[in-house]
Amino acid sequence: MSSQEERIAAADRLTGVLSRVTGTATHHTGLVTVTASAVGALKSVRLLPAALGRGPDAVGRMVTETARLATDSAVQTSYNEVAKTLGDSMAMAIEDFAGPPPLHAQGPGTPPLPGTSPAPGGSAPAPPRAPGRTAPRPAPAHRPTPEPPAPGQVTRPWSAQPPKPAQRPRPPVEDDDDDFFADPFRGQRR
Amino acid sequence: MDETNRAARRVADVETQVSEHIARTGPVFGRASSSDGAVTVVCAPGAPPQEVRISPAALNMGAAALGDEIVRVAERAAEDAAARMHQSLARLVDPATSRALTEIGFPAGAAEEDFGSSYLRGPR
Repeated sequence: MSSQEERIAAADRLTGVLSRVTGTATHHTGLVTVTASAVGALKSVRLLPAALGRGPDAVGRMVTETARLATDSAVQTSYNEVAKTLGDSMAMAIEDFAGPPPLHAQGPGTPPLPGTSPAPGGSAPAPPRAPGRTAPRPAPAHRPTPEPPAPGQVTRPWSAQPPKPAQRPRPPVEDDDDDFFADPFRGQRR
Repeated sequence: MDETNRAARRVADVETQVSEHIARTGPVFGRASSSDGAVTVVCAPGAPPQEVRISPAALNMGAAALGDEIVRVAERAAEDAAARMHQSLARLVDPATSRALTEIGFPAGAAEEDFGSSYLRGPR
């Protein structure tokens, strides 16, 4: 696949991911939980009865703040989904024209939005999904960061993903011509 | 000038036109309210609600019903924002780009009728 075709495929996939992936955040008071898509569409707003006692203005403010964080979480998950399938280089290309993912833009030391916190790993209320779809993964905000980057160093959140398992060890290469002609495929059998 | 350069120049021209238009008219917002005015949501295209206004009487709906109402009104506000952005940009871009706006989630649709001009200012 050419570079141009890969970019087109990435754009197509990104559109699908953005419409499918959701993020969930809970207000630090625990009174409001919002699930939203990566384009900010609210999928669910759960209010505890005690939230209503805070007054209408406070409820509106809590919903707005929590919705913003839920959207950021969904955007982050979208980046991870794209990077997982198409590779880091394609995710970086998307980042170049779509902007950095929210958690990257905030930086590792930036505190979250006041009064809000992402829902702990995958405790999101399961939004209705199309059959056969896989559940969205939690955003990497909930994953431990290996180590803080050096000042000025550009980091990619997907770089923090756990390394792939080690490849199966290959048998030692032998340069004995007689052995090779006796069994030319011995090193490729499993 | 080859095809690539022509395409790049066209993209740059449209980008300039859109930037000038946004600078002239201000940002685009959508808004929707529930029929009894209990919940009002304001949002930008492709973004979460920027403002959620709840009337004191809405608290009598109960927590679950109020949450569901916010979701319903927010959906209409998002549709309104998308429609307003589409209508705003359709004057600047060619039909193919206009169709692309629809494909990426900003259909022309119909803007909310009770929405005045305070959030989408006209040309000065």
